[in-house]
Amino acid sequence: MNNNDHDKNSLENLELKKLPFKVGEGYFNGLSERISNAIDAEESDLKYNLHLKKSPFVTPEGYFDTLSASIETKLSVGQKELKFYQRPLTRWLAVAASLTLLITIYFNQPSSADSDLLANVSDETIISFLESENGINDEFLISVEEIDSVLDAIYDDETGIFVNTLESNPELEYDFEYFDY
Amino acid sequence: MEDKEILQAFRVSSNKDFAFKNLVAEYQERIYWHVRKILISHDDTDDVVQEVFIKVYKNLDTFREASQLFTWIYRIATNEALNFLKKRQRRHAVSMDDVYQELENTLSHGEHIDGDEIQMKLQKALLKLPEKQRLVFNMRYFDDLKYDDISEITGTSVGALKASYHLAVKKIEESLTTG
Repeated sequence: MNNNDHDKNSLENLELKKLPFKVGEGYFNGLSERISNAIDAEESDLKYNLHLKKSPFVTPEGYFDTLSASIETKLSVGQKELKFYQRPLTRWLAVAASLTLLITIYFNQPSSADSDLLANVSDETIISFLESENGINDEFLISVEEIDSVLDAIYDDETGIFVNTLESNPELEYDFEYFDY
Repeated sequence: MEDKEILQAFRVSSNKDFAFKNLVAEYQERIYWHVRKILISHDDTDDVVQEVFIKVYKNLDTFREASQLFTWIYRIATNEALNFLKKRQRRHAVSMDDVYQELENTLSHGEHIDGDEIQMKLQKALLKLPEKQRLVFNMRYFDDLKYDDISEITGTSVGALKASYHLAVKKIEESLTTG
């Protein structure tokens, strides 16, 4: 093997990098369109089935005639009136209620004598007592007026930073993860 | 009234309400149907649509016209609808699968739904798709939006959207023919 043959067979020969394959003239110019056509052909059943395109959803009669007015009402109410949990009186009441609760808990803590007494009560009795107490609390919570507003306020407090950022910048990108199939 | 006229009028305080009325009249139906396809229930959709337009009203002053008005409103509507579902998931401490199961129940037994068997089958198949594929499918198939517009709404590349739509179509056709 002479030196010339060696150079030709070496991977350092740049000629080897050239592929022996060929594509038709203008192949890449129309590729995108051909892919789109192929997609269209595959989805033709769906695409040309106009019946499927009809939505099964309906609205109550006259809904769109009144929607604009409902939005305006909400806007004007929102501008004039603070939400339940935003009213100063509500906030003061909430603080007062929390303080009362803390004071009550502090002064009603069981003494060591109470703990000794509890030792004589069976576990089943204590559990059933606690369960009945929880039941009362749940019922009490459900009966509280505007509990939804209070829960919304808690939720908004938790997520407020994000919501406020979005409100002031609604053009912010939503975190879409399209490759998460 | 054209979008440009609406925006110009909205910037003049004496015309603000008039401009907003026109904006709502122009977009209410498109936004309603977009949100309805995500939330299924009319009542939930009604709440969210009202919230969307309230947000539009409060933020229209800051709209920089970097995108079209309708894609901007669609974007807010999409965020609001998806956040509504996420809020429900957190409130009830359930998984998103449970939330979608609830949507399917609403589809089967809810009010203001009047589709025949095949239309309902399509909607049920859509609920089985990942959230993003479902969104893209709705916007492309039902709303006939261009990929460029969907890209503006979702902030996703056209290529990724085409891939998502293509996958969604394949899955739905499979559901329609086999299920």
